[in-house]
Amino acid sequence: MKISLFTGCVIPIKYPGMEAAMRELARALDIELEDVKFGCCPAPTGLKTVHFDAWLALAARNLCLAEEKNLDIATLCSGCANTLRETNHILSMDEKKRLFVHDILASHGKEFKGSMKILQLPELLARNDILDLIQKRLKRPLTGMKIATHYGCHYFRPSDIMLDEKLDLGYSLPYSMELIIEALGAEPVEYNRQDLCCGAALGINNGLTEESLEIAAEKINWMNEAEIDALAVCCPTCFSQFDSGQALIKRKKTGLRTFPVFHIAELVAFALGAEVEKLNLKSHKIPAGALINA
Amino acid sequence: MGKALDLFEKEEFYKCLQCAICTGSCPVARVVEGFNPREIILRYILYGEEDEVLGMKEIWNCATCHACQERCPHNITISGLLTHIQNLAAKKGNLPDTMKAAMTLMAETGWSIQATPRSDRVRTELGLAPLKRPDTAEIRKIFKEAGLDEILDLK
Ligand code: SF4
Ligand code: SF4
Repeated sequence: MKISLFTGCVIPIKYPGMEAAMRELARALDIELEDVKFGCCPAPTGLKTVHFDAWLALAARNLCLAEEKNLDIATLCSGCANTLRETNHILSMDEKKRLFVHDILASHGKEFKGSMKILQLPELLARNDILDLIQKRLKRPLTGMKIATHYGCHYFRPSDIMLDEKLDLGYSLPYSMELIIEALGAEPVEYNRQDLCCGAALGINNGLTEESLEIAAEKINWMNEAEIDALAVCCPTCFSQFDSGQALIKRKKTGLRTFPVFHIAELVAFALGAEVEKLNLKSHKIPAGALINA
Repeated sequence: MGKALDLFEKEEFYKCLQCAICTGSCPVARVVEGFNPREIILRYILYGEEDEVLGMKEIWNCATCHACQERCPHNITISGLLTHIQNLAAKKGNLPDTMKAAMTLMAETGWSIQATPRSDRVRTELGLAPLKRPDTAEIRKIFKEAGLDEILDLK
């Protein structure tokens, strides 16, 4: 399988270890990655709120770059996936918007046809054939680890665009990462209010760091109540909110029980035998010990 | 603006019961005083206090988590309305400095966060290729053609 890798901006710049993990796991699973010079997605929490048209046009440009190569897109960030998928949806459904974007892109020699699929990494890895391959090629099973998931709001909301099946009133959650965690030999764990937002946008957009951490802290408490050994995420912004967030919260609340946070790509690459140094786990604020000693 | 911005239908909001399930589901309303999606609907749509709402700093606190609209019993597109309000507010100059700086950075670099020499140093250590800058000249032109220069000086 060949697919274009949409790393987004945050991963290659701030968390290159996650990109390395993606490349390691792709190699181990015979997935060929094509690098395309994409720009920022741009973020559904950023440019979209400031200027919808500019957001749509830049996202459409990214889609065209993959389409020129006849490739589907794999994303490592829930925000990127949300922008690209919603743009694909809008341009396919809305004539007025399609024409608006078409005129802009045409002057840059680009045309949106809407032929590509946008796959979030967990969706890609949770395909039956790939889950089988993961199990077959497992080098370091994560036996005994209790791992909870946080998908990030933009992974599954709005559900009519982001998910194929309509969820029951927003209570149900996706389960692709749960399937992957099982394939890695670990135990997926549920916890209360699992669909809650990480709160990151509040700090990034408006500098309300305290309030943003208050949202994260509630979720961290529920995770601790479920006594998880680690948290799996599929978004670098959620990662930062829970990894750096725990470190920041612990400064004031010294008794806080902490757990390491991993991008799902890191967990899969590790379990498939990637060299640990290459994953740059030392960049995590909460030490990754639980994984290494699994 | 407005060319491709048609995020919500006003009539849809007349169905709003003011039941406050949206506010009850909103993670931000729990931690930031003065942020309340139900009240924004009440004031902006039902009371017609458009100018007042467009001038509120609080509108920028929405995390775009979509929990409100996912749980609204009338399937009202609340986050669509918020995006619409934020877009209009930005045009009137109500835009937090942090966001303005982030948009400027994106127009200059094509990325949403600042790359530092450290990024490339770590990338090399991990055996990754150096960062490849996107075509920022084309991105800036696209921004301009889409109308972003209404808000940002794109040079
Ligand atoms: S949940 Fe829906 S109906 Fe209830 S107040 Fe909010 S927008 Fe109105
Ligand atoms: S989308 Fe905004 S208003 Fe709605 S629940 Fe999330 S933070 Fe609150």
